[in-house]
Amino acid sequence: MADKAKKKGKAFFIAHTALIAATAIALSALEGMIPPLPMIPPGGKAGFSNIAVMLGADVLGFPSAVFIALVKAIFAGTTRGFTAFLMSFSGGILSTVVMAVLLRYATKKIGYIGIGICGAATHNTAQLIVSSILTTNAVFIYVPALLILSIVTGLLTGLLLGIIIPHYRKICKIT
Amino acid sequence: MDETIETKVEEALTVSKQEISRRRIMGIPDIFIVLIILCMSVGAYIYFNAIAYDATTAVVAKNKTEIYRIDLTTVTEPYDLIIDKEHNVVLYIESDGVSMKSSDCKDHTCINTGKISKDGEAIVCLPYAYTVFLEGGAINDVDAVVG
Repeated sequence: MADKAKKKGKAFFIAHTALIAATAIALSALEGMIPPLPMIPPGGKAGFSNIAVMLGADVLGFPSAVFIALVKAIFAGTTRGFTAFLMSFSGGILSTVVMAVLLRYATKKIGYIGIGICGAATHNTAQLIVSSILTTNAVFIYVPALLILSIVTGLLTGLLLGIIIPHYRKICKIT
Repeated sequence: MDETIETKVEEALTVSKQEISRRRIMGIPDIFIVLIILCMSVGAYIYFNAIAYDATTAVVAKNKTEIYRIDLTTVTEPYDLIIDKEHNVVLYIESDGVSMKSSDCKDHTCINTGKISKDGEAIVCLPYAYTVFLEGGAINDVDAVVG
């Protein structure tokens, strides 16, 4: 799919990358407004901005998805500090790589939900590894809760993407 | 006539091929992905409970009200703590854990529990409604900032 987007020309690619990156920032800000719930471990988020990253990875390809993840990380860094940048960057880049590879090379039998869950799980894992480097290994106690959370958020993002992507392609005339 | 029908059939076939090649919202492998991650989560939960951190505080409660709170880090020499004189309930306190030494109850479940030393572990004496549980340890001291 990404190859067909490239045929549309550089302007199309840049404009749509910027558009999705802006959406990622808006979703990230929206996510930050949700108050932390007692059941959810620190750092657990709804992962809405992952929708934008995955949309970019599927429709526009890997480079634009990495750019979107980077923009998201810089936004987190400017609003919430350097630690947030590191967290968002590590999780964002790793999950983007995993999702882009799966979207491109994995069998079409794997649905958007499966890829969304894989992306969310790798995002959380990368964040935990970085936070364990920054603090102590004690943060790994959150692994079970975060994995369960990534199933829930992955389900949500996958479901939304499955609805959004066909329409997005139809509007942009890239099928 | 025949030609037009053939082209129409071909068109229909290519369209259906496109539909098949397009990714769907959910597939069968997705269920396996969910199951694998669930297994990992359960495995991690069991693993972390097995290597729980050494506790720092012992709390003794009767009927849910706290009656003693002992900081285990300040304990230098093991000693006996008489919780209940009437029923001869005695707790043996060491710097690295606590155990029930004696009790007049019949079943002696509390004594059979042995020494507890990890965060979250507990000794329960059901006949006299005493609970001894441990708190603290490295896990609660971490204020991790996970962005």
